[in-house]
Amino acid sequence: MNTLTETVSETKHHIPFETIASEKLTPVRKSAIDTFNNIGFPTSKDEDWKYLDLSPIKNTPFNHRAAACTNLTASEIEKYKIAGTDAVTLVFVNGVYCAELSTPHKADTFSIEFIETDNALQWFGKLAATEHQPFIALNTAFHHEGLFIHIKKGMEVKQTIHLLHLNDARQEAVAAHPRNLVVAENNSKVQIIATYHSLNHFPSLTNSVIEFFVGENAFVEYDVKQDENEKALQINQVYAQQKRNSVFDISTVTIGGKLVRNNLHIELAEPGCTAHLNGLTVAGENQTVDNHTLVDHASPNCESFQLYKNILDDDAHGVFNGKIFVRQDAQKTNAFQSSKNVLLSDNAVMNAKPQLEIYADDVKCSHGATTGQLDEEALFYFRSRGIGKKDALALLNYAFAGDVIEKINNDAMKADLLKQLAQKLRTDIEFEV
Amino acid sequence: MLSIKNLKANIEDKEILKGLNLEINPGEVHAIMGPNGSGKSTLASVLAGRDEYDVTGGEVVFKGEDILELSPEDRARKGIFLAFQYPIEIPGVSNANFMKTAVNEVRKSKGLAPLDSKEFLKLMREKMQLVQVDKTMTQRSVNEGFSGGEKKRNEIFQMAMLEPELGILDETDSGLDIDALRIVSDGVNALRDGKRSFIVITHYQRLLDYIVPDFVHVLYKGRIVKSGTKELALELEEKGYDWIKEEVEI
Ligand SMILES: Nc1ncnc2c1ncn2[C@@H]1O[C@H](COP(=O)(O)OP(=O)(O)OP(=O)(O)O)[C@@H](O)[C@H]1O
Ligand SMILES: [Mg+2]
Repeated sequence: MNTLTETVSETKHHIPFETIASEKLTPVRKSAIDTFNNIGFPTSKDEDWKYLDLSPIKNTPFNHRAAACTNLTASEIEKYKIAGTDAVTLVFVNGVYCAELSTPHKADTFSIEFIETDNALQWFGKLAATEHQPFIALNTAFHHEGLFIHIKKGMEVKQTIHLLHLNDARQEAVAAHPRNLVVAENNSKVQIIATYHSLNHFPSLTNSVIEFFVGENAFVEYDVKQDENEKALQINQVYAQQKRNSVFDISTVTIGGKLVRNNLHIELAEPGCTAHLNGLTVAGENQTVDNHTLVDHASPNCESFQLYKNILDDDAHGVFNGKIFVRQDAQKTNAFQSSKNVLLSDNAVMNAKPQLEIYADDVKCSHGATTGQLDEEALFYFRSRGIGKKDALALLNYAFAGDVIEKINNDAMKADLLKQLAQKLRTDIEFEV
Repeated sequence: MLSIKNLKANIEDKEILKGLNLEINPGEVHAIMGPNGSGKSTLASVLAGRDEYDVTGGEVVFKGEDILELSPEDRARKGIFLAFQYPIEIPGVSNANFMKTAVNEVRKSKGLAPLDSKEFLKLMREKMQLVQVDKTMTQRSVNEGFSGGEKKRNEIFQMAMLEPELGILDETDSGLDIDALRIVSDGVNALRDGKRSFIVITHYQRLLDYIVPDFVHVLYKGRIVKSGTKELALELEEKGYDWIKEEVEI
């Protein structure tokens, strides 16, 4: 087995795509590999990646073509499902769609097919360009059996669509490259959730890319839970393009994973769009979680709201880099951004950096970042009522974090996250949620 | 019930309490008055266990046990309650959840089973009535956006829920309108059962018309310099503190 870099260099000469059903993407894959071999992995000199130590990704001999579905059974998948939904669950094992483990889906409101169909290819890669983006290049080269989810015009999808990602690195180090595409036609409405899990005896890498095309007046909510374990690395790239008067809401909740990097790129392409970006990280030990957002206000009368919170314990490292780009034409833009962070230990580190680039003159933009220790006054108030220090902390942190989760519209996902949050914050307090 | 002997306490190396003595028996109400900055809130905080204050001398015995080494939560579980002069706001934690956690923690420390949701609601409803707190207030986050008077009323509601043996009310009357003053006082009086004791810190004699104290003390420069019965409060109302300051300086 080779390191990733070697694997890629090798495939430059011989590309083993015989396992892939369709040959349609072969030229795209080849050119993605060329791109990757030209630019290579980001280094610490690269401004956008400077806080991340990518050596675990560079130096691990991952298998990029690990078996799909492995020998997992439906009952092993069950525990990753979200209680209280009759969701359409689409299971991806090692990045590859696994029909046996997924919910059969037949609906009038949407269709699902493989990404390598002509229908999908008119959209594929239009937002997630490979130039300057080594991880997108790798994903574009190696993705396998991703899905194209097409929400039909004027339709509301009543069921939640759950993209359930599981990396199975019990036998070997595995790199998964999930690649999905969502097109929500005009006046449609859908709630999609994505959860990421891993089984590790060996390290795993999830290098995920998803593109959203949000039509006029469409409403798309995308809620992400990153819950991989301590040997897992994840690079997660979400792209969305919004048409007139559409709404795109995304919440990213990160509780697991050794190294997690989220790149979120939203283009408000036409007037009247709204985007909400919410993020919550609860990290400890030596976890690193890096959220990079880019909201591109390319059109007038659009609004964006960002709220990112981190609770960092032990040696955890949090990064928030929020870029708001307001183009010259984008008058009457409202763009708000807030990063709030709590450090529970002296060794935890938070780097929060807003970046505003504003070329229009009639805009309302604001940003703020606060990083603090725990609130001693509040702690004393709790303790004076008989609530012990540990429980008081748990309640305070739960309240701080819950604020983000409350913004999620999908009730089942919200309940799932609140429950997991209560566990993560090590409280046996019974919460009424 | 509570015996404070020669208590000395510092904050940031500045001595605030300078040898304070106070004896409280079960069922008694002690009013503490005194000029601004004399150390009344400091005394309340030290009794509740706030760790910004360094106790440099003396002892505080509550129900036969020296409590100075106990954590704030352990003191609360043993029955000490402080109604804060400035209650803080806690966004994101509902009053009801907060109280349920607190009540059950106190019960647990006494070896009692936790209240289930139904029992808790019943208790809460009963106590809400006592201080006329309405339902929306219990559903809201603790003190968040409450008016000054609502915060004070909420403190007394919490006290009623936790049923302490010693209630310390730090200027609970300030910020209350005339009706609220009566409601809160009635609530406190309803909790007077001949065993429960109170320390009532106030600047105004009027409160003591409603909550009639057994003793009135004047705290000045970190010591109790004068004690008397409720008539002392009337005298202070009339004459101010100068005459006491003069007595002390001699
Ligand atoms: N955190 C602190 N740092 C420095 N000095 C403090 C601090 N807290 C209290 N003090 C000082 O301690 C003294 C006593 O304050 P305390 O709050 O006990 O007074 P008080 O009698 O309650 O006054 P009031 O009637 O105004 O409420 C004051 O001089 C005050 O400035
Ligand atoms: Mg005071």
